[in-house]
Amino acid sequence: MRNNSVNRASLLVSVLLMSSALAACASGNNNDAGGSSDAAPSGSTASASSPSSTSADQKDPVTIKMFNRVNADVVIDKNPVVEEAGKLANVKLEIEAPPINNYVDKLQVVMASGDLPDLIYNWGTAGNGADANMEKWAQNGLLEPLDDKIANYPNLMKNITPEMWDAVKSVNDGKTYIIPRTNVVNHWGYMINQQWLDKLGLKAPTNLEEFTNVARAFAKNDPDGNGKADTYGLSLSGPDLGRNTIWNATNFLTAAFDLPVVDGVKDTDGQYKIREKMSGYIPYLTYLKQLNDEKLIDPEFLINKIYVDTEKLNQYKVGIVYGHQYAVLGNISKLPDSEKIFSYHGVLKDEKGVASDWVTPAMWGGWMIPKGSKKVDDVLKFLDWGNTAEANTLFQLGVKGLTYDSYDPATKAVVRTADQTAKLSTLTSPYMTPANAINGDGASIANADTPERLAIYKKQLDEALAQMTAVNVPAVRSPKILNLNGTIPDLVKKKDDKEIAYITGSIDEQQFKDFLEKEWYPATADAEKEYVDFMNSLGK
Amino acid sequence: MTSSLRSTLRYLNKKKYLYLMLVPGVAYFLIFNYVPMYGVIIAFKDFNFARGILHSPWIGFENFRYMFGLDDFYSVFWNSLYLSFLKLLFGFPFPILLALFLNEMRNRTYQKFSQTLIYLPHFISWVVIGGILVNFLSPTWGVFNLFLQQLGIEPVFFLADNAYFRPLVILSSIWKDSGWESIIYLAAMASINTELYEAASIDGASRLKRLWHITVPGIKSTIVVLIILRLGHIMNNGFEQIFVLQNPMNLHVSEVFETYAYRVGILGGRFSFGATVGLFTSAIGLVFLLASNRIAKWMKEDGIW
Amino acid sequence: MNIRSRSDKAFDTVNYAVITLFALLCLFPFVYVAAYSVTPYTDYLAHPLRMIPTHVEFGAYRQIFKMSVLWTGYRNTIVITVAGVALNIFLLLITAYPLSKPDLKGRNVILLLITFTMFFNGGLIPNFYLIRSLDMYNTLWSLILPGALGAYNLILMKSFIGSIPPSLEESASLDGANELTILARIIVPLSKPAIATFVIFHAVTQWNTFFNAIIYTSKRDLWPLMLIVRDLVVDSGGVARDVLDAGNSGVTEFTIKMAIIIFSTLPIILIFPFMQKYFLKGMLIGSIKG
Repeated sequence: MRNNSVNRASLLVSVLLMSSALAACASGNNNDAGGSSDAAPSGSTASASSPSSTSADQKDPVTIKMFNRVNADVVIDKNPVVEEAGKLANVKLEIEAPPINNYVDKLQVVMASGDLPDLIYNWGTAGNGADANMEKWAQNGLLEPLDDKIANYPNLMKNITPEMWDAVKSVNDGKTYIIPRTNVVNHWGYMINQQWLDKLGLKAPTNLEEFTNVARAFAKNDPDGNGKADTYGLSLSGPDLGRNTIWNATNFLTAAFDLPVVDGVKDTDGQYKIREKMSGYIPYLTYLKQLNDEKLIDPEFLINKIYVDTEKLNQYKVGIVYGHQYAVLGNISKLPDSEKIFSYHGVLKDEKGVASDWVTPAMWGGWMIPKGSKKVDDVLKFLDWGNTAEANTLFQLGVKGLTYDSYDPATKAVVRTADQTAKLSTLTSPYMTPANAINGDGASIANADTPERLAIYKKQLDEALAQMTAVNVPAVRSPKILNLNGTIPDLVKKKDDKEIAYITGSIDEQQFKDFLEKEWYPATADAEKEYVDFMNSLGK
Repeated sequence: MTSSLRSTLRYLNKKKYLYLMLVPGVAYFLIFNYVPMYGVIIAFKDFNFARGILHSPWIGFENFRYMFGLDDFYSVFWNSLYLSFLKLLFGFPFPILLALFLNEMRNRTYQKFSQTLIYLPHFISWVVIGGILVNFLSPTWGVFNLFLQQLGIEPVFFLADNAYFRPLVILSSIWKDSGWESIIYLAAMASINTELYEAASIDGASRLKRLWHITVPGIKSTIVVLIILRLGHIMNNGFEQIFVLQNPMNLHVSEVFETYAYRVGILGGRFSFGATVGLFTSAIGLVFLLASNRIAKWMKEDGIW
Repeated sequence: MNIRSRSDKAFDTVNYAVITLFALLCLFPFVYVAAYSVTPYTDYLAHPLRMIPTHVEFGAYRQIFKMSVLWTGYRNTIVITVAGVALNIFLLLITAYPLSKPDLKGRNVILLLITFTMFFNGGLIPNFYLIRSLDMYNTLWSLILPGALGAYNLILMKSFIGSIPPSLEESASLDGANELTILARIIVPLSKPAIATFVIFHAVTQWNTFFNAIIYTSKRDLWPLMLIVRDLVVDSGGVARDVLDAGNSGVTEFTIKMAIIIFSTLPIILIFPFMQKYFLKGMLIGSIKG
């Protein structure tokens, strides 16, 4: 969900530094997976496994009980992908995977049961795995601190950036209890109905003025040609406590106001402050109010549940929704031929002509090891292998011959039959990966199974990246600002409410500002100070 | 002393089969309900994962103090109670009427057929039905609003309007579950002695009269038991239904204990706080149940025991 | 005579009209879901309420029939439904019958203890410990036994049995029959409507089991149907949606969801008509006399 991403240039630099620094450390380590990961597997996993099997012969495979969040389609028992992974990593993998929708319920019970698996996935609410649950378990002494050990594992150190390690450290004692599952870098922007644009003779908007024009044309000029004024320019979705839909991945719009949807970015005056004090805050809300008053935005934009906006896009009721570079191809699963109907674009430019692409460390939860586990080193060794391209390819693409015929890591082109595609979904999924990205990139792109589709993906991504300026957002590790939902849930709810009231016109700007001045700023002053101090300390 | 013991033994011997029959059921409740019941104590503890329920530190009524101290607590309390009350007032009589109507149908085939149809919505979960409902009522693409527009009425944003939320919850639950709830009344009606109807028929009573003087009294004890049980669940509003119809714009009226505990309790896996909310709502339910049972007894009805 | 039959006729008309209207309203969601499980998605987009497909398409069903996990789910669900219902009815009868005797000593204490369980329970973790120490973890027993007897249904059953006229029992006990015989020979036949009701209630409960399975099992081949269905239909989202790769088969996610709902609810809906004959008025008293 979150735009966890890493700037490629800085990543490359850190990777180079890391690998040179680690070359010395790794020499004593009888682990050659680090070497083999640089060369992406040629597509034949059998040949890639041969170098590691020499060391494997000396030791019987260790059984690792893995507790993971895996979608219902995947069959766990006698799964050839899992068996192949066991062979390559020289372990015996026993996976327990509760259903994804109730993963946390079962995890809570398992954590309380006193009988912990060897390797536990935690799906943090902030995307990075270091959530309130992890803090609690660490504080209760259930988790093994890993700081002294991880440096021995070259792939972990290489694939997981220092920013990521920082982001998952406990806010209580600063120790590392969780190993991030890396994720692909998402460049959030928007997905637009290209056919409507073509029909109306318009171009995809790049700034606010163009955006308003396109939204107006989509709403008023009957882009679907049915003779009825029943379409809207755009829609939003996914409300949550402490976060109205207007903050959920709305980078494409907020960028025009220099108003980041994530913490950890300076305001236009170069100062850190809470979002509600930033210069773009009121103008952004006012702009949404204007869109709503003019009926250019879906009237339900404040309440749409997650994905409802995409459904409205697919049913030609709205023309623009938020999306990242994978959104158009991903949408093919919902609407065949999506790539011919929609296109992806980067965020809008601000008044100075800068389009800010805020990128945060790209993580998707992480892995925990129980305190006092005798298998710490075996588990870390397995995760180290999991952070290689070999492992990533295996878990994303499956086994050659079984789920695909050929794969070119350079272009990510995959050839597979319909049968193999059907099999793939029962054998593996991104949920199965120990690391979902290697150096910020996945082995494959969902639905990019023809050269045409792959070309469309690459073209649109390149154009978006060329237009945007990447802004690296560090991990914000300021507990108070992250935990407002827990400390002042009622006031957080009230602020959500006031934002909605202002946008829909039931209170005016003065009343809204009064609320901020009299209630919100005083209640968050403490958290803001801690946050600003933390951010300023990073600069030094 | 010995004589009282002897009379007790004699009583037990006389009723031995009845007591024997009770053994499996009582054992069941002891094992599956009472053995794990020590878990309620975490409402008075600060639950620690490593130390478990028994060894976590006691904190007395701290969790309760926190709960009563939350600003929203009282509006949530009111929402839960008021919605339950409305549901009881409008929703409870409906299955009874439905059962009476169904029971009076003479065409057996048609009766069976329509019975089968009215149970159908019960089998589709709230998540699906609620999803369809939210979709239908939408001002953007909802079929219901398209219909209104054809009558020249401006689209109504039903789910953003506080005035519509409670009626929507009550109507949709009547529609979804009253057919299902009528089963129990139909079963009660099936047990009424037919001779009563035959005698009334010979006396020349009209069907409405027979319905009022034979059928309704025949199911009265079932109605009383169900009202008492329903009052015991006064703080339960049906999580799935509320959750699927809830949104940030109707939260003022739609936030009830079950959704509130989910939001505040699940965030951060606060077992203790979840147990606190649960204990509080249970205690209120138990008070309602005992009071209504007492009232039933006082009105010379059977009650639940 | 004439006036009375006219009022009867008016009653009939109103009755049939009301029931028919309500039945049609109730039929709606099912028809909606069923229709769109065989309608091409483009038809749905063009006319979201027409519910008559231009051509019928079973692609979504073909797609879900391939999912082996749904079939093992079916098997598990049938096992826990049949065994669960049998156990439930047996326990309900033998427990409710003694409790229906107002003069049985200790009855009120037991009833109070039972009522108490409607409100207070130990929560997830103690229940999990219990299942594990009874060696039922990762067995289908863990989905059959907990919940096999509930206070709510027990109280209702007790009230049903209590409303059977005592005179019917007395004649048997004068013949010297003990309570076990009376239960089997008199109470059970007289309680057929109630038994049928609880068969349906508990069958539906068991059919919809999903949460216990999450907590009490760790193997996917023990998952009951509804757990899988919920995970597929009520998915809160994630990258794996793209993996249920409808794109290649040309069937959209929406259609597949509709098909899964029909596929998983049809059998349980069909049990109702089989139970229906026990609700026919007056059949039972007649059968006792005969």
